[in-house]
Amino acid sequence: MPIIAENISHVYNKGQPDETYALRDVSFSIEDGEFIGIIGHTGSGKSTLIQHLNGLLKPDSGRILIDGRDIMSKDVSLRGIRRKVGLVFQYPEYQLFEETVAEDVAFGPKNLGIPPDETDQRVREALRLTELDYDEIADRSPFELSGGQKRRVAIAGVLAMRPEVLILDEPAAGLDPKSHVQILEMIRRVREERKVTVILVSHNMDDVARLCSRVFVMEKGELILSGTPREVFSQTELLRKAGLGLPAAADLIFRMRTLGADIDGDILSAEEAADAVIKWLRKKGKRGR
Amino acid sequence: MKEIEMENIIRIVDMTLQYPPADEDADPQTAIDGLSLEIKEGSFVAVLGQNGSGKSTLAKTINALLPPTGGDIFVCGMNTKDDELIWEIRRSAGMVFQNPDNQLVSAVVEDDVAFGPENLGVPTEEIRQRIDDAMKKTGIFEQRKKSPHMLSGGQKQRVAIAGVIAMRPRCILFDEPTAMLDPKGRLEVMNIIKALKKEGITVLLITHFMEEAAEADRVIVMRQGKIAADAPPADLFSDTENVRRLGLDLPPAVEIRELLRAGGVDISDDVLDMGSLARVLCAGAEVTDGTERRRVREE
Repeated sequence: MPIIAENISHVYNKGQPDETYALRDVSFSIEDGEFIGIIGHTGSGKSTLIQHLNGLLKPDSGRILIDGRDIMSKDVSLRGIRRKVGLVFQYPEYQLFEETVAEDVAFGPKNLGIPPDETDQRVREALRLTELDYDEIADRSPFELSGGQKRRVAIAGVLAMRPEVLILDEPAAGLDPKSHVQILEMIRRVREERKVTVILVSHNMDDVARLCSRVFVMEKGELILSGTPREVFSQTELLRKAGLGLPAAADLIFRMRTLGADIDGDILSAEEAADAVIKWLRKKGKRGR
Repeated sequence: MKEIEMENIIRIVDMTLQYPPADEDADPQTAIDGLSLEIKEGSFVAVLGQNGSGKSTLAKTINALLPPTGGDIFVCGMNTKDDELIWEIRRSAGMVFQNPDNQLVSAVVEDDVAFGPENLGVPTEEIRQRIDDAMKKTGIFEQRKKSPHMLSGGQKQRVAIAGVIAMRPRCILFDEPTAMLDPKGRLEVMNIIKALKKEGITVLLITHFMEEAAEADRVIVMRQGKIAADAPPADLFSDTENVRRLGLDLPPAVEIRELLRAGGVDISDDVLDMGSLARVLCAGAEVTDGTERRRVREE
């Protein structure tokens, strides 16, 4: 189920003196099974963009094609689109409201008119995918759970719709380091097992560098750069102008180059950085002798 | 007679905090379990720990938002149990929360910053001076006539900090102030925290970001309502095994530092941030042969 954005623009306060383009002429295409990372500082248009991908926002111009069809055309059901494109907002646990975990996760499928038997099956599957123990947790109130568990329940609620595309806005924000790693690992496994396309909005450059196959960089409503993590994170100047950081390893190499070190290559992981630095120190040592 | 304690700006003695049980049959939930802690005036203390370890509860007890169910807390010598002192305690130890949207109350930035001092009954002309000063320190002076809603997350958080600074506190408690910010916003807030520390204001920073904790003088790790570790960051992060056992991470610079050390590069424990690591490596760090090093270790 490829997603294609064709020149989409979204304008707030159109025709007013404070008219602002939240999105300006954004185009891209996402193939099945890709793992896309979207980076950009607050207000760069990331959230506006993802809300267009499941029809929550309508572009002022341009089109979004899902499975080759314009999602805003009259013969496409937006409900169907929202089932196929699951969107997990930031701090989704604030949206839990049912009395039990099972009811909360079942809310989506029930609304779709899925029969009770299948709904139950889907709830079990979604809780398993989010690594929660059904027997232990299904009848408990979501409000008794820890922060990390609540967030999993909220994600399970979206997975129970069996989406083909899963969009997550900062899924690890505010979690402690251990829960942070666990939740991203869980997303990685869901992607492998369910073969879903994942779109991850994140401020964490290391997560994006490690997990994503392609990265989109947003700045002032425009898609200014896209490519593999290695391609994107080698554009240090552009990223700095967009108010973004680098993955830790790339940051070290960038700082060393600024201080005059002649280290080659695009470095993304801590291991690569350590290897490159040691190689450089050896070379320098020999030259010094 | 009020009990007066001045040696440490914060002194916590065998403090317990239990939340009432969810229903009658359940046991009360112990968030803080017999914790004792002293914090010197002017220090910068980071508090780490997993979600639910009691970090935020600790900050709320110091700010007199929650009365302890056992033990005592003294802020600038004032016992938080003394109802008459609550406002004086909150003025002395201001608090900045995670979500700036929940802390801003006015339609104009400068009115928001003035809210605290106005409530304290500070004379009008002094208020002007205080808020201008606070807004300049936090770099939002240019935005003073704007609505907070027009600002970025980092700017909003700086408005919230300016509002606390305008109360002229001796201590500021930050409860995950950067959790909802982008990298640029995080850096801006951290720079303000470091500037406040330089001015002599005591800082207590609750955070999940190890690189932020690495900037502190002292790191306290909470676990199940108790203090599981209390050390300078260079010491804490040099024991990588222990860091993992505590459910924490290494700061990114320390993670790479440890890989370099394993490869034979000599780097000291106090190199904790990426800037220092880059400088040390470029200023003539030496690499010994990895195999030789291993042999030395085995002997």
